[in-house]
Amino acid sequence: MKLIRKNNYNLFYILLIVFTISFPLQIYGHGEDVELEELFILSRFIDGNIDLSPSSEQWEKSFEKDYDSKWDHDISVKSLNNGTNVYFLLSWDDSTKGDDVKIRDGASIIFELQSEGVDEQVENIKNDELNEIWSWDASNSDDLSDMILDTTWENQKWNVLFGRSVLTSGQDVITFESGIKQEGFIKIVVWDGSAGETVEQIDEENLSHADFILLPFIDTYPKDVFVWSALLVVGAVSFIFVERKLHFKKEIEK
Amino acid sequence: MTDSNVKNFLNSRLEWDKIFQHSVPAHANSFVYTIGGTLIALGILQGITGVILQQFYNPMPGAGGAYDSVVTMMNSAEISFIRSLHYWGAQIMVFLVLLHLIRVFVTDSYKKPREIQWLAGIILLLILFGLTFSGTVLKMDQEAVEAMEHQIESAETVGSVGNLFTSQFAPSVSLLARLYAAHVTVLPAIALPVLGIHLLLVRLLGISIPILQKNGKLIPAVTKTVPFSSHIKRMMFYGLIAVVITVIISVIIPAPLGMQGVEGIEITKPPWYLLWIFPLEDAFGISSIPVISVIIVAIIVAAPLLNRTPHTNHRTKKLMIVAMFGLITIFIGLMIGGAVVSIGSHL
Repeated sequence: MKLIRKNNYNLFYILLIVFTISFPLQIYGHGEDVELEELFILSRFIDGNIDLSPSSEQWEKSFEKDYDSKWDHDISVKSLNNGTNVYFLLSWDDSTKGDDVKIRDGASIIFELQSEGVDEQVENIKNDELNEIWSWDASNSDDLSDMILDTTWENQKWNVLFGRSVLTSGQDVITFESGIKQEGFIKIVVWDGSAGETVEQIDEENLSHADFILLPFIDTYPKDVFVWSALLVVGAVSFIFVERKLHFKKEIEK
Repeated sequence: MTDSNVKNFLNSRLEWDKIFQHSVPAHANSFVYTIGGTLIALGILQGITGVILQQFYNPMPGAGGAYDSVVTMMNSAEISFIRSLHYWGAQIMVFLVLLHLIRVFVTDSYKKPREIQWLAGIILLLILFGLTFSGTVLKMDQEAVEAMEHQIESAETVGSVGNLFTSQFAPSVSLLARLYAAHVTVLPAIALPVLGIHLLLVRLLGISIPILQKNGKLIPAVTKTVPFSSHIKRMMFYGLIAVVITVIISVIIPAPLGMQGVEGIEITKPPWYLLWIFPLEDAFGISSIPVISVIIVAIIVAAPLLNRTPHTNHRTKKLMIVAMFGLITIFIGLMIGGAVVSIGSHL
């Protein structure tokens, strides 16, 4: 208290320090994790060729989203694009490859044609008038279609890679729009044949909509930081020299 | 009317000489001591380009609003160039302000009797950060939307204190419109009088001179002086160079604009001067942003308290310089960390 009375400007700094120390306490408990309500699938842009091996670094660094689908299948969804082609990698746990069963495993990506009024679209998965459906069935895995680029079953897990040109061709219904959020654009479903799951049991109405964004190039490695940092360091060091020189001048004068 | 007659006329009415005809230390004419004046030149450039951009900007969110108006600006070569000037002018201002802060610190210019000047400078620094932040948000591209979401989430972590920075404060007005008002009216209106105080104190207290202590006496390290008018000319010269550099960069590298902002995703990184926040947010969460910001500002404000000798105390000074370089190293280290860290890890 004596210190405060002695010099008023001490009071200001003491209050400042007290406020600073207490600030973290003031906000303690207010912080809450923000959870996204919407389900986004982001297709990261890759400049150049895309490695179609699911274990490649490009796919390792892609955005991953968990899609909770029918029969509680938790599907990992990744997507990449290079402006020309767009690829989707679906991965999900399946303890059996199902070579010995009549009904084989499979997966479908269902693209909604209309972005508005998606709630009103109650269509069966087989109705492709409003949808474009990319399907894979393990019984045809030796003869991959244009859309199915790679399938593997390793460590009790399926990896299925779909791909297509970004540009719409005659047979395609949907278009991919770069940098635009395509709301409710995608639904995904997989089925396990050995568990008795069949494509006929799928009611598209009960599948979750996922928004989709085909990302353009985004600079996630800003190099200007290095330039500004170097300039700041050079500036700070040169100021030290200027300041020392000012002191040194006086010594000379004396 | 001859030149001298004009000068006499102005001097007799405006007391011109009282402002310009005084001496300043000779070292004040080095670039190191004219950064503040250079910043004023860039500030004028920002004001002029800002007023022009204001004519074409639509501060409404959604379709046909802010983002579309910026796209329209970019379709015009002239307005796009003005926008680039405004963008690069802001970048260079932030850089020069940080340099100015370091210079003032290194040369002990924050010490008694210049504490108020130091505080006014810090307020101007915060206003500049406010202006660049709100300017970033106004374009409403992806970077802008993510910046705004960070603002809202950070503000929410500080409870009612942060209410002003959220949509809840004025539900009938978009947050974008309020940020626009802050950018073009509120922040400049606060900045101008604070800048006035800052400059007035430079005039009243003089440009700082290193003070040495010899045999118990305080003596200035520099005794040479030059007329203030020559200092003004030198500041105008460096200011002009800064403007020319801004023009050249604006011609070579147009101001960027990302994809139209989408809420709820995080795929961009903040500008370089805010990039230090990125790894901190990764490590400590979004609530760390207001906490760390306040602590940094408090440390800077407290500098005059930590080093209170009126003369150069080499031991204390060495400690302060080491601390400063420690802070600069942390700042730059975090910025570079933010630049190289994978964006995927931040989601």
